Amino acid sequence: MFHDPRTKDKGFAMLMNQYQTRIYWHIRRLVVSHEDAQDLLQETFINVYRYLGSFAGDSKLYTWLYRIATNECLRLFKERKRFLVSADGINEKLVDTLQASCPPDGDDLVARLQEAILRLPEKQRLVFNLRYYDELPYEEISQILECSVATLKTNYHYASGKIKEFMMQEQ
Amino acid sequence: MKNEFDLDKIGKQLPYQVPPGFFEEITAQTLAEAKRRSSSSKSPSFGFWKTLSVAASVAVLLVAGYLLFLGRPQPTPEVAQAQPVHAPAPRAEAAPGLVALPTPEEPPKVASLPKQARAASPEKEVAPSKAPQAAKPGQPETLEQLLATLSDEELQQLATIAESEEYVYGESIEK
Repeated sequence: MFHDPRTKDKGFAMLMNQYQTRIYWHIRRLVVSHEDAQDLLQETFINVYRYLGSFAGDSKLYTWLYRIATNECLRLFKERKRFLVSADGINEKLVDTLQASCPPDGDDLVARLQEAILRLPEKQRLVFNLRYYDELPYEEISQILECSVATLKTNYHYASGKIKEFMMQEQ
Repeated sequence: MKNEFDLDKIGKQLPYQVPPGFFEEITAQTLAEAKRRSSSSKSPSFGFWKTLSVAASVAVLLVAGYLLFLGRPQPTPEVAQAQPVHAPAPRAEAAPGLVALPTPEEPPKVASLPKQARAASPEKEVAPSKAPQAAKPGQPETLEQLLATLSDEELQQLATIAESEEYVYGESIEK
């Protein structure tokens, strides 16, 4: 369907309608801002439109989509880190954006959990989000992040411990 | 027992909001943008001419730089070679740059001897760098200064010449 030019656009629209919500929230949890998430969601699926014909099928389609989306987020972080004095500055920026994005009558506990996640190192944040929110198995996360399963489990363990410690301090 | 925070208390909720109708419109917007980029990347003419213009600019710059390098004035060998036939005064008045570029066969002209002393002892052309009179032709030199520049052999020769002559400095020598 994607190789035929007559049906490519229709097939692409079907693909995007099916996966856009999952991919959007994966991106949004990382970048926090809706505007950034919208831009990166579009970039992700523009890349999908360009390279879908060459998708080898050696992984599941949504694994491939997650990998493109994650790489787009990491590219954005890398660009923004150039303008920051310290590497931790990007985390502080994300926390500031979170506090500005949260509605005033929103659940404070939910916002603090997001703050705890945003304060994690980049790799731990990625692993935690994919495992906790997207409930992906470690083998698929391994294909998305190109990392061993053992390393992912270690990262998730440390991330969970830091989140719990942060939430206990804030209580 | 350590009291730990339970993540299940919060669940999978997120504090973020999405503008209404966002997911309904994003697919059409993304497809339009993807097709637009795909069509612009398929037209090679713009890319070809752009590349060609950049290459032409680089080539022009290289040629201009090469021509400028060739056109840079070089010190001519004829001026340096003409120095030995002139008296010391014109040589000293020459530009410092020319005087500072001696030919390989001859020593620096500023420190060169007068013609007679140079003909008598060629090896002394290096030593007279201590002779002050060559640098300033206008300054009168004393007999002692002149004699100090001569070697023993030259002094002997001068003495022989003086003894053979009848008058020295206007005085007659009576033997």
